[in-house]
This record gives sequence, structure tokens and C-alpha cells, in this order.
Amino acid sequence: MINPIDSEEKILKRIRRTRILRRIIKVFFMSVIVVWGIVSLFPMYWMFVTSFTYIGPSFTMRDIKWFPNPPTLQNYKDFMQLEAPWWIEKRPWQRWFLNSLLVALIPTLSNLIFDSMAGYSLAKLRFPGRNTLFWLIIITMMIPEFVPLIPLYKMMYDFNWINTYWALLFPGFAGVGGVFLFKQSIQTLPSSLIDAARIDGASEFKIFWKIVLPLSKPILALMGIVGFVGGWNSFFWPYLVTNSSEMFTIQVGLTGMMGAGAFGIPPGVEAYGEIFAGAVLAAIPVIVIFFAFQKYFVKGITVGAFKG
Amino acid sequence: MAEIKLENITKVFKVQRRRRTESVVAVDGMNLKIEDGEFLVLLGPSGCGKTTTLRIIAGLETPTEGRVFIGGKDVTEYPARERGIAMVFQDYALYPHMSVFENMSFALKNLKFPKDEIKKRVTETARMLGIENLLDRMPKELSGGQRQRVALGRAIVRKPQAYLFDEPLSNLDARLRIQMRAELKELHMKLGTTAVYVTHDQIEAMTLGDRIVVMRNGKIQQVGKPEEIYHRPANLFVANFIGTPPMCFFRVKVVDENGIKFLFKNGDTMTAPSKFWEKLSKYLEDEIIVGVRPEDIKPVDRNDGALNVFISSSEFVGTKILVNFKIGEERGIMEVEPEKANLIMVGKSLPITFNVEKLHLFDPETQKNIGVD
Repeated sequence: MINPIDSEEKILKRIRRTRILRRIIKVFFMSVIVVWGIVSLFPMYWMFVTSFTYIGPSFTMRDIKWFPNPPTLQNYKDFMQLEAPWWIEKRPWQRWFLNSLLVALIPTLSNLIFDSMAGYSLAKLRFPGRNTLFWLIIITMMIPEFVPLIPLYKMMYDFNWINTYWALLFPGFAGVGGVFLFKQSIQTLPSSLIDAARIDGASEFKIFWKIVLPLSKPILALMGIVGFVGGWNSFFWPYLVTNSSEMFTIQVGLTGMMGAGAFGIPPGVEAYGEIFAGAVLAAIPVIVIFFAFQKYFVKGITVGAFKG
Repeated sequence: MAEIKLENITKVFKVQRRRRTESVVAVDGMNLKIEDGEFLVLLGPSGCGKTTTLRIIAGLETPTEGRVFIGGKDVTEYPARERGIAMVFQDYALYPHMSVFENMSFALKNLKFPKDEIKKRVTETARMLGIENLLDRMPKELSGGQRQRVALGRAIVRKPQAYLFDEPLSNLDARLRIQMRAELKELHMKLGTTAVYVTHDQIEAMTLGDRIVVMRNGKIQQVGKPEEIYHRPANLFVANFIGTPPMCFFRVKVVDENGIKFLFKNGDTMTAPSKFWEKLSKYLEDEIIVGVRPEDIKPVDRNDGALNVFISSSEFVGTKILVNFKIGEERGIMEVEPEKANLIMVGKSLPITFNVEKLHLFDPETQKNIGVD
């Protein structure tokens, strides 16, 4: 606050002081962010470096290298078993990637379809029991994700779906979180647009397809990215419902390679080099997708926060 | 082109308020016939049910009771898209992800028109509205007035049976509003299609409407030509709602002193017009409300039958001076020509007279206009 009685000199002094204080605060916050960034990026860096470093059969923490010296592609060749002799058990790593791709893509697509439809009807259509239904959806969002695992497993078992694509894909076909997000986002569209389309002779489905969906692009992109990354990285559910290596996803496969005495790795050998090479390969799609759609990602997060 | 008929239309909304469901009557037993080619304006304050009525005609709301007829056909159960009507919305409701051309052709595409016909109609309409150079633009690249034209174009291009307008000019600035108002009027004369227009702006209603329907609390107060509504308001509400500055109202006592006279609150009397004497005879010694428009009040040199009023303030508005005055505790406003400005002295009293031929008399109980049958 500026006191009119203060001399000009005093006022200038105070302005200078607040300026300095502001700069100190800024520097402090910046350094917090930088430290946090380093801490969270370090495992990625380590994985990346190690995948290009030769690692002997006995590997300890002391063997961590900051730079691969000399860099080698041996770990990648080993992971793909390019030079493995015929008598070593082959690991179906291509199949793992394919399975991961299916687990990432199919439920995401079906989520986009079903969640957007449900979100639209909850946001813009009037029907009896709409509010009750919406609250039921909110309530199911409060249940921790691990609670339904056992009943869900039992269901898969009773359906005879264990170790099939049905078990891997079907439970993720629609999600309440997506319904909620779509509802909130579609609610911000002016109802007059839908009225106008109705008067312009569009059927209810056409209104959804031609008006509502194109205007929901940011939220579609957000849901698509989150769904794909989540599916690609999912571990626990695929681990639970698969038991033959052809049905593994890449995440489950990589875990299986750890000290397993399986997948072509002798018992007692820690094949960290190969595992890290596989982990780098598994991380690439996520990184590519994130950077490619970063614009939509940030836009999607702010959907509903701002209008227009 | 078609006439529109509303029969006993009632719309009740269920509203959730503090965990209780309340019923709100938006439209209450409305009967209305809109002639073929007529420009009809629904006028009233916000919440009077005018927009609900329009949405019922459009098929965007289903009436709780009553029937809707368009072109003699009962369309009450028809969805909006099968009623052959076009609507222009207050916020224009242009599809933001479609170009102007796509916006205007959306309805025709839904009606499965051939491509070249669509193109022909859209360009024709765009030329008529002066927006042919905007066809490739997106709505967000247009000004308010241009958006309004596109919204109009989207309605016109379909050659509908009737146009419905939901306060289409209220988002425009004052100057553009006056311009678009005139354009709308010309357009209606050119197209000759039935139009129903909702507004709360009485000037819009007066200038555009062939007939005006004044609504309040879901009920029709009066239906009539603009002059009729202005000069013969059916009740206090209509009289008060129409006209700027508004009509002045004074409570007077009806007395018989050598003919029927009005006794004002300040003790002055004024002879009632003789055409009302018969009707006023049953109000003798009772109070009634006298209404008079500001342009029918004139300052005079002191003579018989003049009222003495206290001038509280005056406002110069260019072509005239608006003078606020008081009779006892009741306030009034009159319009004075600038030449007579020397008569107006704020804080002083002034003799005035009413144009007795244009007085409106209202029953304080029923609020009905006594002079109108």
C-alpha cells in the first residue's frame, strides 16, 4: 500500500524491495521444480543408459554408469534373442507388444464410444431417473480400484475367460470416470445448439455424431491419451488373468523375465540389460503419444474449467 | 406457409427446490390463432411464459395440456424436425465447428436435398442477406451482426412453413439492433411467411408486430394491433408495460359536483370526460386509477380545471424535456417541448392539464380498463 505521506524516495525503496522479494520467491519455486524434475526423470535416464551398457552376469548397484562406455546395442539384440542358439527357449516378445497394443487400443476406443454416449445423455437428454443414475455413477467412482478385482476375477473364471482376450479386454470396455468427464464437458455446450440441430431436422443420433462429438474433441483426445497410456502401462489385471506367455502383455512379460529361470534366462541370472532394453522399447509408444498430443492433453485437462 | 393455432395450451414444469418438487405453471390455458403470413410478437417480462410458448410451437417442449396446430394439422405429438418450422435463437446457436456454408446447408442435407439444389439455395439466400463473401468463414471469425445474418440465413434457406424468433436481436448493440429490426421487417414483407417473435422489448414489439400478444404469468393479457395495445390497453399491466416513458397512474376519488369529477390526492379536481360518466356513476365516492401517457400531459397558464403539480426534476433528451412531477405523494412524468422550457422550474409548482380524450380509467380491484369493453 502506498501511503500518500511517504516521500518519493521511500516509496521507490519499497517498490524495489518487493521486486527483489518477488524474484527470490520465483527462484525458490523454480529450484523446487528443477529438483523434482531431476528426481522423477532419473529412473528414466538410468533405464535408458543401462540399456546401452554392457552388463556382466553379476550386476550390483556399484556397476551403475552415468554414461554408457562404450555404448552397445547388445542388450537389445539379447532382448530380441537375435543371436540366441536354437536350444534356448524363445520368448514371444513380439506377441507381448501386440497384446499390449490390443489392451491399450480396444478398451480405449470402446470407452470413447460408450462413455461419450452416456455422458451426452446424462448431460443433455431428459429422462426419468437421470439424476439417480448420475449419483450411482458418482458413487461407483468412490470405490477403490482393487476392491472389485476378486469378484471380477471370479466372474472371468465363471465365464471361462481366464487366459483369453475377453478377460484382458472386456472389463475395460466402459468406465464411470469417462462418463463423468464427458458429462461435465458436454454440459458446457449450449443447449440451443442441440435445439437448433433438432429443428434443422437432425435425428438424435445425428445430433450426437455431427454436433456433440466434433465439439468434444479436446475431451475425446484427453480420454484417448489417458486410456491408451493407462492400458499400455496396465500390469496388475493382465498379470492376474493371463497364465501362458502368448497372452502376456509387455509389462507382464518384462516382469516375468526378472530372475525367472524362464524365457531363455538361466536361473539365478539377473538379466537387467535385456530387461532395460525391453523397458525402453515399451516406453517409446507412451512417450511418442504424449509429445504428439501434448496440446490436446493440456487443453483437455482444462475442459470445463473455462468456457468458450 | 401456414397458420398456427394453440388450443388450451398449458405447460407445467416440475422444479426441484430444496429437496421438494414444485410445480411451476409456465403457460396457463393459452388460446391463440396466428394467421397465415402474419408477424406476431409475444411480449412480456422475463418469466412470463413467452419463450416456453415458442418452444411448444417449435416442438422443443411438449405441452402438459392442449393441442398445437400448424397449417391445420395437429402436430402436438410431432418432433421438432417434422414440423417444417425454422427457429432463430437468442445466442444464434451457429454450429461452431462448421463453416457458414455448412451451417446454412445442414438442414437441407438432413432433408436429403440434392447437392446442386443445396448449393443454389444457400448462395441465393446468402446473396439476399449480403453474406455471400462469408460462406467459407467459421462462426468465430464473424461479428455479432454477421452471425445474426447467418442464423437468419440458416432459417430462410429451408423455406419453412413458419419462422420462430427467440429474442434474436437482444445480443446486438443498440445501433445494430435498430438496423437489424428494420431488415427483419423488410425481410418479412418480402417472404410473407408466418412469423412468431418473442421479445421483452416493447419497442421491438411495436415496430415489428402485425399483432402483439402481451403475456404475464403464463396468461395472455391482451392481443391486438400495436396501436390498439398502445391506445386501448386492456388492463393496468399492459398500460404500464407498453410505452417509454411509462404511463402515469393516479388514484382519484370519483365525486359528483355539477357533473362527475376526479378528486386528486392534493385536493385539486378535474372534470371527467363526459363519455365515461355513465360508467363512472357506479364508482361514485369510490377510488379509481387514472392513467395518462406522458405526451398527453401539458403545462398550461392557470385556468379552470388545471392541476397544480410540484416539479421534482427535469431531463433534457434532445427532442423534448422529460419532467418528473408529484401530485401529493404520487409521481408522474410528462413530455414538454423545449420551447416551453421556461415554464419548468424545478422545486416550483406548475399548473398542468391532461388530454381528457386520452385518459385511461382502471378499476383498482380488477385492474381492468373501465373505458374498454
